[in-house]
Amino acid sequence: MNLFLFTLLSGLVSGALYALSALGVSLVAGLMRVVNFSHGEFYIFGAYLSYVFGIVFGLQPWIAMSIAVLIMFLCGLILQWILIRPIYKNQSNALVTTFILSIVLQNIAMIVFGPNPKKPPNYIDGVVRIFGFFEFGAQRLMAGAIAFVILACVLLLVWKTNFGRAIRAVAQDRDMAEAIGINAGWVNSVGFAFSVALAAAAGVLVAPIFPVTPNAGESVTLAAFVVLVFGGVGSIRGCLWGGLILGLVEKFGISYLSSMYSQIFGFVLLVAVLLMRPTGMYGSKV
Amino acid sequence: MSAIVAAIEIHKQFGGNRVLRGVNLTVQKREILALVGPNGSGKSTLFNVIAGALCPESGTLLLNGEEIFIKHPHQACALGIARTFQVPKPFLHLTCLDNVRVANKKPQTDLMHLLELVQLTDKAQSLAKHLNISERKRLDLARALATDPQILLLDEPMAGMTGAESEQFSVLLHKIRDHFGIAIVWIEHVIAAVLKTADRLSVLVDGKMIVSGQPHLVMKDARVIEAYLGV
Amino acid sequence: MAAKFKLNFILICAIGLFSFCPNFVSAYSLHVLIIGIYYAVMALAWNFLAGQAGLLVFSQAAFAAMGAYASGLFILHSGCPIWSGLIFATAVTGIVGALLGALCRKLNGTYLALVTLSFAEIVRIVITNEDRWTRGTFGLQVPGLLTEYSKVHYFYLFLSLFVIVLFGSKWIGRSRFGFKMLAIKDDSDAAESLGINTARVRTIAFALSAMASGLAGATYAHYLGLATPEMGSLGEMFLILSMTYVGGIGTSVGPAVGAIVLEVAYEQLRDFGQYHLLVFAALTLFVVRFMPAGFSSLVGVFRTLKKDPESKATT
Repeated sequence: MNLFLFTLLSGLVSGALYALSALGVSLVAGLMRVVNFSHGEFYIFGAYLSYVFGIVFGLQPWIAMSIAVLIMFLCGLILQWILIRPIYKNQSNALVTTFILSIVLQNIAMIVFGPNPKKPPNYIDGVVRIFGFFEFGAQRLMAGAIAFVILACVLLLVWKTNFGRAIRAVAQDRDMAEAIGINAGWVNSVGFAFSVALAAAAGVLVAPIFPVTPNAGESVTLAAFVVLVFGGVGSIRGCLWGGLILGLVEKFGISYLSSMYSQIFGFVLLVAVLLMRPTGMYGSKV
Repeated sequence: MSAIVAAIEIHKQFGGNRVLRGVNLTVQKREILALVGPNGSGKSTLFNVIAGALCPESGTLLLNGEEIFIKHPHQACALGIARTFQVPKPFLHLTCLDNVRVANKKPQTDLMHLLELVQLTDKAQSLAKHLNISERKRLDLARALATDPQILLLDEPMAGMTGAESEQFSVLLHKIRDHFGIAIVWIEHVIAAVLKTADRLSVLVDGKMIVSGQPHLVMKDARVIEAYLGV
Repeated sequence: MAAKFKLNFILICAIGLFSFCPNFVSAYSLHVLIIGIYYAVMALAWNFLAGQAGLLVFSQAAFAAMGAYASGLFILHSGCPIWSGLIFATAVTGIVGALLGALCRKLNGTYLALVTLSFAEIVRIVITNEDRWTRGTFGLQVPGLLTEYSKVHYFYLFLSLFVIVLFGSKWIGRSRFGFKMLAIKDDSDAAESLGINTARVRTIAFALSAMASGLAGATYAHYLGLATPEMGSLGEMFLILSMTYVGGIGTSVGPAVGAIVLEVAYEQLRDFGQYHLLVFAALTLFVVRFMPAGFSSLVGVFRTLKKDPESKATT
């Protein structure tokens, strides 16, 4: 019973973080029809920056994390302007370009930070006793909780604010949105930067638990894609459900089936979903 | 009755939306049948069912008296049902001649003759992406003919054509009907063209076929007038 | 028409000249060239799907790995002669390729990329984890194809494979099947309506591409004496992809040229130490961003400048 509850909580926490991570990809895909292969690299750079400010400069963990996310947001703006904006109309080109970009970023990470794992400082220590059943890392719990909070905030942002409306308008029909006065180019820029920041946020939250290496981005990207396929493009609720399901399937798979094949569960899930519903569970075709 | 294609009691719905509610349609050999109806009446859906792009919930399709079951459009084509698209879909990176060549089924078909028929001989070696919309529609037509069909389904071919172009197209349809001896089913909104060109007119309203017959008589039918102008 | 014959003639001459290489280069350079030819075959196989059929898949490298391990394991456990391993590898990858193609028959763009990518990762993870059979990340030692190790003989072996795949893909490209692939690439709905069984064409294309990769992978493993899970990694996929794009995706020879040129360049860049892969990737990014038709487009420009009226007929 203990194992079941532990796995359940583990899966939920994991799921929330997957959802957070996938949110960025979903946002960009919905907005610009570009699926960003280099998503995982933004995650690890967020983590690396958090490490730099937290360990190398010795700043307070929360401050280091916030600065890291902010810097990544700015980088996102620049990258969008140089690379993404010219190519977003051509889907295949976008796929290939972001794939190559991910290789470039991985190599930069390798050169600058080296192959050894880097771990930003813990932002909270200790364990929490869950209903007297078992112990769970406090930091992991906090990471999951913050992820949920961020998700809720994004949900509010997209549905209740003017900027959110603008995003939804451009995602549905760019030309129409421009016709009613929305600056689609600016929305795209901010949207992309925002998605980079979300990836970085996931990175800074998780890195103290799982230190990052230059290659770590790959599995983050792939996990985000699994969630994307499951939840549909541009659907926040889809991301949430997709993320939670992925998290739960993975953790239950590890606990009860095999820990060696932990990475496979996500892929098998993705293939299964796409075979049944070629447009993903919720969303429309990319 | 030498009906080439008969659709009997075709039902098709999308989710809760019942688009076709028991449609009956027959098409004879060497006949130009125009299919008209208000927007949303289900004309394109019916088309797609006959062409094999959609599966009906219930109903029967007969080809030359025999029941057929089509799961994929290429099966429909193999059976002799050819179609064009409302927005032409040529193979942009192939030449006009190659476009027709890909569709061609019989090795001995004179492909240039087909291009001649649609007046695209001078564009035979041009890439399809350089064609204007009227030329693309004609290429679509030539391509469909190359598949050696028994019945040709045309989806609003005259949309966006000038008066002169529509005239030419009407003449072309008659030529095809007489020369190839095939049946043509044609969705159209330009009623004037229909009255001039079609042998028979079927009116589809709200997923049901309400009347079918001689174009002039049908257009005077009270039910048709009500459907277009009234409720 | 004349232009096509001219190109083939030039090609045959070039390959003929190239086959005299072993007399003039060092053993190390020959090794690099062999690797270049391996990638040329892989690039051509990927181009068959991505360039000619418009299916951007990420499973190419995985099939090479699959072929390598299939051949190695078959020979090691069945005691059959070494060449039968290659046949086995080709058969296995052909079947799995067809299955994958059938699975993906309705998928396009991003979803196709994701499924094929997932497939590649599943293959790599299974190979890595089942180390009782595959020896995991240590790699599987496989016997050489030739009883006596001779780089020169291996060079000719790879060159033969390359010639088969090159002219094979050209021939198929110009056949009726090739036309169907082009039609599906341009507009699969229209192709369906014209009687083309898109599902079948795609499945066959997948199988052919997979077989070429599987055979290449198996041959490569036997040459190196080792099959590793890395052969099927995304990093390898990146190399294949970039070689094809730089050379010219969709063209019949571009990917092969791109592969050999880039492989040689890659080795030269080793002097840069850590930076060489970065330079490589940045170069590829530049090409994809500013010259998506690859360097073959330059050749096209050159031809037009020569004012050859038949230059409109591309390869």
